[in-house]
Amino acid sequence: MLRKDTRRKKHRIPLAEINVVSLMDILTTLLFFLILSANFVEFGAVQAKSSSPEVSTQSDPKPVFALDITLKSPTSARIYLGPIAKLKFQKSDQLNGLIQRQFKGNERLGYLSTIEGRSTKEMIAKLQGLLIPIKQSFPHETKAVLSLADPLVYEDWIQVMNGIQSMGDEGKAFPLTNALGKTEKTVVLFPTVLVSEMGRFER
Amino acid sequence: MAIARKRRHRETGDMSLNVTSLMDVLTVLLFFLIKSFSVTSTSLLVPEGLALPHLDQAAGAEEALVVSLSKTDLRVGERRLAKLNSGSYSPSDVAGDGSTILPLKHALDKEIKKRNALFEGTDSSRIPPAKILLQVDKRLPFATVKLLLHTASQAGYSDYQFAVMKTLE
Repeated sequence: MLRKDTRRKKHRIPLAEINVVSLMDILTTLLFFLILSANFVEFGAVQAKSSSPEVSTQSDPKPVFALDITLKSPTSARIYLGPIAKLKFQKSDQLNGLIQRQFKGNERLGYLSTIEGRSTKEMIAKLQGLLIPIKQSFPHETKAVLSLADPLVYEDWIQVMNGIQSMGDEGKAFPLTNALGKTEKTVVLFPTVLVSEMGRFER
Repeated sequence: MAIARKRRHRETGDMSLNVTSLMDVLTVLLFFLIKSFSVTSTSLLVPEGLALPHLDQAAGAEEALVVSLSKTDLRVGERRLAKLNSGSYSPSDVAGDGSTILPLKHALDKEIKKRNALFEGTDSSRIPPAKILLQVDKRLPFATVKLLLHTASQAGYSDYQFAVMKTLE
């Protein structure tokens, strides 16, 4: 009986041991490095450009798309849309209807509309409500000028600038027909914002 | 037999450490940190006293020259260039035109020279525009910020990136 037991014991495979010391070293070093380089606050950036006055040297300058948003206060803005008669644009019925309802002005000088809101967020929502049809009529235009009043606090106009550039993640995408006739949904409005000081005569 | 084995165990003083749970914790921490670690993301060192504005969504910041403007000072990188008094520049720091911040203009001119030296010989149409990353305190009025923008533009930095903090979901 005993002989059988010893035979069984002899054929047993010995247990293998894993030495985890080096693995622990690697893990601790990696962990230390990653904790040092970890950034628990996510930063982003809002792009903008400086506005430089473009002086036309031509006697009869080519008509250009002009969209200027003047921010007088965090809850009040004014949109200026330049003359559009000589420009090529889509959805003319929609745009003309919008101009008649919301804007004042004429074909020679352009159109002006004032927006007021109870808060900056509400004002931005109303502003986007006007920008969407303009964008749908001029899908290839990407520039808008943002003129700012001196007392405006940085946080407020950054939000407005962001609102001019896109509808944001929470915003509803709108249909946009490109030059090839293809319609897609997008949240991008006027991504190129030129920052400018409010004109003396506008104060 | 078993009792004898136990006695032997007690006498030798061997102690076994169970590292299983420690390994679990380390592995989970490691996976979390690897996930949040990014080689390409720009890490910003926000100076003390500077509060960045919050936005729900914003694109990632690109590598660029960092200029910080808080209520108390103006910095390029970590170097302080000018002191501000509650968001107002001292008259000695502003040029006669009332729009250019002199120490900032000098610093940016040096940086532009270095940049141009790097692109020497390259066709000017192929040189990317000089970018500047602005960390501005959210409480500052545009009257203070516009001098910074004007000076940067004068120095050749016309592409601005305004640093913001993304609001946590």
